[in-house]
Amino acid sequence: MVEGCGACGDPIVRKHHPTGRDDHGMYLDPELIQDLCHDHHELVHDDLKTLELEKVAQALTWFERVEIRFRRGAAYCARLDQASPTTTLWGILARILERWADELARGIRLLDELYPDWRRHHGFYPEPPTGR
Amino acid sequence: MASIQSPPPEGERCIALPIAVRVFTRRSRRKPEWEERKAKPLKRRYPAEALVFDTETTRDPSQRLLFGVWRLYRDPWGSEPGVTCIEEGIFYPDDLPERDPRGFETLRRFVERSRSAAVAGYSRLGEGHHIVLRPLSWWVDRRLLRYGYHHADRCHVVGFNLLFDLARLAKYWSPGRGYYRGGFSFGLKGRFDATGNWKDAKYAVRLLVKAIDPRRSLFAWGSWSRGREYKGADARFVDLRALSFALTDKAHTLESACRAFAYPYEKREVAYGKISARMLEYAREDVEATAQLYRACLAELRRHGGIALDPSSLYSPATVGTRYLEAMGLERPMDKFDLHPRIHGWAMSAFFGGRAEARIVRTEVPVTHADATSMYPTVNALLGTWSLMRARNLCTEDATDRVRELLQAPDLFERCFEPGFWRAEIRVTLVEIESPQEQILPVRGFYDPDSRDPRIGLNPFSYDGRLWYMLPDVIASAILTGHPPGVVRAIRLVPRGIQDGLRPVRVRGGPEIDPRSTDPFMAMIEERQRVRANLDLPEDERDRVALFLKITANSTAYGVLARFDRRELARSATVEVFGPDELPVGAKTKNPEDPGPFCFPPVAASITAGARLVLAMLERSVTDAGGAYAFCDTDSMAIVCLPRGGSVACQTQRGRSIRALSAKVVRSILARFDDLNPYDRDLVPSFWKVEHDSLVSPLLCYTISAKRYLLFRRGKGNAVETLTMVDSVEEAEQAEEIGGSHEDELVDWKEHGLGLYLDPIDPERPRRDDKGRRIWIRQAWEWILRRDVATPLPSWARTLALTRFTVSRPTVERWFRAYNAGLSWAERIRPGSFGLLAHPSGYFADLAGVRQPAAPYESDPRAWNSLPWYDRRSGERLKVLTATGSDADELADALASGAVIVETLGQVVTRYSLRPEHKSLGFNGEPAGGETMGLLQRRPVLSAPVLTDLAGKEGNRLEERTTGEVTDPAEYRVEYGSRVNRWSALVVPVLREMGAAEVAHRTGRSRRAIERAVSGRTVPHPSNRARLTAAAAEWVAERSDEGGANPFGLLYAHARQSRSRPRKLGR
Repeated sequence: MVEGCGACGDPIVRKHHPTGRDDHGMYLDPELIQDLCHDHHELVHDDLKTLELEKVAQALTWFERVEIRFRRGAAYCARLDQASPTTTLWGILARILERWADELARGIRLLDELYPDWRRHHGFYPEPPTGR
Repeated sequence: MASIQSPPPEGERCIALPIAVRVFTRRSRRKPEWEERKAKPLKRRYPAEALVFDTETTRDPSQRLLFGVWRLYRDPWGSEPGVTCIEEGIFYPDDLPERDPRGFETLRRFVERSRSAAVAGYSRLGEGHHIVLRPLSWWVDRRLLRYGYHHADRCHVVGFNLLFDLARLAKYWSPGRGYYRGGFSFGLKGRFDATGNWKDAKYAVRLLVKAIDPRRSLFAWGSWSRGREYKGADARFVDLRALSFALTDKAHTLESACRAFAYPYEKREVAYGKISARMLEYAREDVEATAQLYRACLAELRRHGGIALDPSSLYSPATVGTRYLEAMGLERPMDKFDLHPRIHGWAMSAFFGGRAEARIVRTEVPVTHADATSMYPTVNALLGTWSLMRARNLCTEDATDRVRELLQAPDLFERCFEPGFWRAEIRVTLVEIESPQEQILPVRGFYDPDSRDPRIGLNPFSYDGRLWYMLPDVIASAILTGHPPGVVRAIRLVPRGIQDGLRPVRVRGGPEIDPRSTDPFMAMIEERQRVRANLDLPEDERDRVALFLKITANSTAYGVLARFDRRELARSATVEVFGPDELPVGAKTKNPEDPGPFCFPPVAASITAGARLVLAMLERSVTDAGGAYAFCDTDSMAIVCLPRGGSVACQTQRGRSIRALSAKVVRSILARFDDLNPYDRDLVPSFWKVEHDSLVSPLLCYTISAKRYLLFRRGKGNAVETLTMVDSVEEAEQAEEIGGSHEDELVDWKEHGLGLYLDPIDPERPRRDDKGRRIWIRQAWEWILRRDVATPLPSWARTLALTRFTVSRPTVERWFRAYNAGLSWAERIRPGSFGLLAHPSGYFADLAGVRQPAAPYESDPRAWNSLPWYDRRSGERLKVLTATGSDADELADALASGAVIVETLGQVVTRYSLRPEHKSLGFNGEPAGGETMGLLQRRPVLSAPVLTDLAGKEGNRLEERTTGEVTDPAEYRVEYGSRVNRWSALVVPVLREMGAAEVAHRTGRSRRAIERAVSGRTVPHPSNRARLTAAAAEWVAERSDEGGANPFGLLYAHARQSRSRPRKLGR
């Protein structure tokens, strides 16, 4: 049996990483992959571009790496939910992921307010990749 | 060329009238490539996006951006677009934080506490699911340019009145060039250099906008920079104001458009011009309503399966009709048929709009109002024009003998009631007639001495030459006068075969219509009746489908066939002008008129002529029965009628009453037409519809002039219950050329003439009665009906009579150059903004010369008198005041200081009620005036080739003309001179007769210059020719008893009476 696009069932032409890449261009979750057709792959990447979530310009702290995962995942789930005529688990998941992202963002804001220097500590950042 | 045919008998008053005939023009050279630019086909493998936005502005004259709200929708291709909102945001002018910190703070707080309308899951780093707040420069770059320009092949930029909204975003604007000449080029990204000159940013495109009329605009992206042509996709801007008009044939506001598409929306009350939370909510709701309307319009378009209806390029019902004809595979007649352009020229010279005339004026009479069922599609069916349109080829056949024979037939009138006579004998036949003598024929005459526009009248017409008419008009003349005109030749168009490639279509998803075997116009009308009778359909859907079928049937049956597009070129193009003569004349014009895709003059001219024949048959039937009619209007007639017949008070030539026909007689007259009903009798039972049950219970009719009438009933206490209020301005008949259907036109135009003036209480939200009519106009009509000048008008009568205009063209923008001088670009009055026009009062209009007051828009009537008024022509500041309530000294002082006396609404209503029916004579045989009452007579018209202008389309820029925005005929009509040179044929002989000394004395020109001009060695400058013509006319007037006639009419009458000196004045 040939599997189709995760959103519409059309023939697969792309493999999509829902949580995308970090500021070094490395996939955040390389093993999280879904097969998509050309149109849906365009669609989810256009969504990320619109939300300014696709490319990350600055180095991300651990917390922000989690937040961006949640937001990218939420946008992806929302798009999968749109593909179905009824509300699906994807829609619920989109809302939940967005909520987690919001909660995390609130924590990061609080850190910024209480400890403005926290971002300077290298322990909050992953090691840069080597050998590239 | 022949000489004057028959000098008038001794003592006859000879009043000659200049007339005009339409012409067909063909460009001598091929059109340049940029005029032929076509949209690239869409790529369909990408998702569909829609950027919906709206702007709110300040209330000062500049109407600059206050803030804007947008929503971005993205959906997979093939699914319903505009469903998934992935972003909602607010943009603000970049300088807002400095200019208005409180306003900016309000914005910031609002977005912090407001959840976005985007679908759950679409959120941003640091901002979450809140509304996005961005400066304008970011929005232009990342949203308008990214989605409107880079995604042009897949993204619609959607708004309601986009010209206004897009102009708020522009930092700089200049007049458009090339195809967009007459429009604007908006600079969106760039800066002003040290010298104040605008520099576009690198790779920043301009946005080109050109208004077709104040309601509809064309949009395109310009080039990156000078000399580099952009090769990408065209802009896909969906202006819902234009789209809703195209789909409903009605001009809408956002609210009314939403209602029309079953989405109830009512704007909330807000204080405009200030950033507030309420205002922000209002703007968000507006955008949501716009998005809903967009979805509803697209859903409507999707119902037209298989028809290429691109929402960004639908401007009128005629465009929809054109797409249907294309879907049927119908080839363009001008390309398909190898007809010589002179046949189109002859057909155009025989082309007239619908017949509209008043017969009983300023007298209340009881009437039955009969209206033909879909007149133009019906006439199409009767004449069998579809067999012509779908033919493989056409050939012309000499039908001279046949036409002469049928015109002489004693039973001609009776035969007109046989459908076979129309299809077999009338058909599409052009007839050239020779020197008609008092034949009742349509004439495009300059009846109104104060107007430079010709009007169409049906009058006893004498002409010293030859003219072309369509056969129905010639038959109508024969049945109304009893004697046919002399036929020189008749040419009939005969279809040969059926073209290849025709295919069936489903009109709005309904039953299939096969153009190879069915007349599609008839099929649409029948389907409309079927839909109306189908109670299984929801009422909304039933009404929408029926309306669509009616609009499309009318626009395809007539509108698209008579479509000519006026171009605006930087340099003159040479055109060949084909008129009523055998050979074309050459002319140069900057406004050539190109035929529309399915333009076909012979058929278009036949259809309106056929409608006039139907009205002539009804008129003859009514008058044969001893009755009369109050008015007729294209496809309807108000017949004077009482249930049991009788006498009705009305001043006539013979007495003080006219005979009202009984309902029984009127019923039998109307029933006689039923044989002509081409439709299925179960669906359309009769040819005539009797409106408002007026056969059983006649209406009262009060007519002022053509297309200005009121049909009403008197209720309890003599109160007036208005049924139909029609007061269209002059060009209603011409408006049909652009594809409007007649019935909707009435709805649309019924308050025109008065309705174009701003409501004197609240211009933003005019007070209306339960039927949607404006209260102040109803009060005006009630005042007119009283016919008692002693009765005071309501309190609004002293308010300035102002019309609103849009800065839609660079020429209009220039009116405010004095206002704009010294202001920054942000503070200037920009394209798309509204303005107000005041109208110089009648007598003072002459004193004011050419000064025309215009002011920036202000919605508070109390502030109108004190606005900064500017002269439209010079841009100078001026003061306006009204004659009402000012004493003579005050007025004299004001005039001396350069003030302009402008009209009040009271003066407008009074003038409106006194409008003469210029194309008729009063019951006493004198020209009809402002107070003429009773039964009018037809006005005899005498003309000749030397008095005949060759004119282009008259129906251009109708809206701007009605508001007074455009007054110069050169701005809306192309004139190609006269059939015969008037200077040499009329003026020079009189100048010779006067003698050089006399001419020199009267004009102040040197004798030598006059001798040179008279000898034909030189042709004077137009201004000198005008002066010499005026002197010649004055000289002639002193020697005759004619006064006030047109100068050329006087000169012609003089030449005509000089029996001893027959002069070549045209064939």
